[in-house]
Amino acid sequence: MAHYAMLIDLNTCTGCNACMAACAVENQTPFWSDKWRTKVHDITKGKTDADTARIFFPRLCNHCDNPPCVTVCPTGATYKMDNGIVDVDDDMCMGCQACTLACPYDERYALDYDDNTEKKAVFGEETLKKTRPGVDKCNFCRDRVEDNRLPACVETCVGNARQFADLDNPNDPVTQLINSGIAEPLMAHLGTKPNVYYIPVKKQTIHYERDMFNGQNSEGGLHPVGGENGTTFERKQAAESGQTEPAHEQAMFDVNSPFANSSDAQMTDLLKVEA
Amino acid sequence: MFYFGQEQWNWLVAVYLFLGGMGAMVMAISTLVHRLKVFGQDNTLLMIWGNLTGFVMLSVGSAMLFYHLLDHLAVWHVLLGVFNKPDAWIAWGTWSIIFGMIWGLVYTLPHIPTPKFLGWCQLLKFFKWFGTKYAGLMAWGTVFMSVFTAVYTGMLLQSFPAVELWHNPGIPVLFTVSATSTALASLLILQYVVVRADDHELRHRFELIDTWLIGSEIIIIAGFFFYLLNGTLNGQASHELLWGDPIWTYGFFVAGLIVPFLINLGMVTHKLPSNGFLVIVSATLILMGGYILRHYMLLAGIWELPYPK
Repeated sequence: MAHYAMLIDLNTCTGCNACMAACAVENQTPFWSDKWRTKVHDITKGKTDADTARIFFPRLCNHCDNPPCVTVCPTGATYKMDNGIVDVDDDMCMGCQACTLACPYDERYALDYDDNTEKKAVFGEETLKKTRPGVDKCNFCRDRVEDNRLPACVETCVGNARQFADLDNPNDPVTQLINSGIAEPLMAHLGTKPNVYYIPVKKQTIHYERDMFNGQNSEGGLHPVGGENGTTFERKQAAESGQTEPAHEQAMFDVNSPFANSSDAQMTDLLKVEA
Repeated sequence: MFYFGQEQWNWLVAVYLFLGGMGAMVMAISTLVHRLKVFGQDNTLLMIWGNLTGFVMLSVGSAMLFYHLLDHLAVWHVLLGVFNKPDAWIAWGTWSIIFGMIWGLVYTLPHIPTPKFLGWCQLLKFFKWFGTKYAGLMAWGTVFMSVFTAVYTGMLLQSFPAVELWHNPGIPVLFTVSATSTALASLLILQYVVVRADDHELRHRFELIDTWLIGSEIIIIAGFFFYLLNGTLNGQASHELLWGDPIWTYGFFVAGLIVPFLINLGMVTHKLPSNGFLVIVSATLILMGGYILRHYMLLAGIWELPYPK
């Protein structure tokens, strides 16, 4: 049985909000009322020119293994599936909103009669997925996942900031990244055991010579799973010059980057395997 | 970190928590003093008025919660909650409210003369017979369910882990003490205004118990004051919201607790004359404080997140 999780690399989110758009269309959320299953926050950190950083922070339901929203739900409408997804049964939800208060991540919103009326006009009455008022939330695009497709937000993410993982599959490269300890869940101290992991932002400088940049497959950014899209120019250069192994010690990333500072062994092993 | 409050549970839920806890304890105490014949008196009239008042309070409170629901047609699912979701407090609270109300009413009915226009109603006759035959069962069932309801209102708030103000063992204690205190205040008003029975000993005992309860509540609130003041940033935000608001500080703490405590203390120690006016003033202030407590407890619940709302 799969155990789904998500990895979000805060270093590569570009803040394009494509995930929000894809989610809103896929799950027919009332975005006109500013109600989203996933959001990307534009946060500025730092106070001086030197240390100011702009961070895009994607958020969604954390599909906790110890979900307080499931505990407080009096009808059993909110439930946890065997594959780790926390979902809401629209027919059973009476909308008491206790789950909304119990969620430490503020990831649920109320869907009222007005929203449903408007949804009929926007998305079409015949194709409406959710017709009853109640509480709505992310369900990792359950329909798509059960159909062996990625959640809409993951599939549309242009920066590959969102990666979908099966924690029960040790060969899943995203799972390996999560297990490497490079990513952290949000507010784990609450005991909710969340399943959305974030690679923290580190101040990093990505530098490359313009003439060495020859398209997206060799851009200087980092790819959370290190696939072809994330090939760094150093690695590509090494491959072209006939070297079998890229020189990891040659500053694949900036020394301040998260990859440079932690869990090198697993990260480099992963890259080696792929190389 | 970002700190923000909630808008989902508004004053409707505050009224539900207030009337739910108070109404339940009114029924529990009324039934108890009647069943035990406290001070050797027949407290039937007080029991009738108490149980009917409690019934109305619980009905209005439950109606508020029902109105607040997003999908009213799905409400029946909550009745199956104790089987599907025994870990959810609302599921148990719904049952305790319903059974407390029904059993309390069935216990009361045999003591109310049947109005002539309802003489034809066989169902009423059945319930009167049932309430007479199983009076003990109904009485203790009412007491148990009602006390459970009062405790539940605090347990419910305590079950939200992200809010420092709510997620602590003090909340169920505070809500239970407040529910009992406001229930005694309601019964005192009923005794002085409606029942007018010759039950001075019982009134005096109610005043005495209420004084102790208000005193305990003051200690609990003082505990919360320092717990939040020296607590996490989340708790400090709640502290600022509560104690920075004059309605909480002066409306609840001073007018709703300190003043009635002093009045009651004066009366039970015979420093003040124990007259109807003072008792009703004190009881009204307690009721006002009881609602402000619930309202501001909901208002001051604060979440802490690494991103803005």
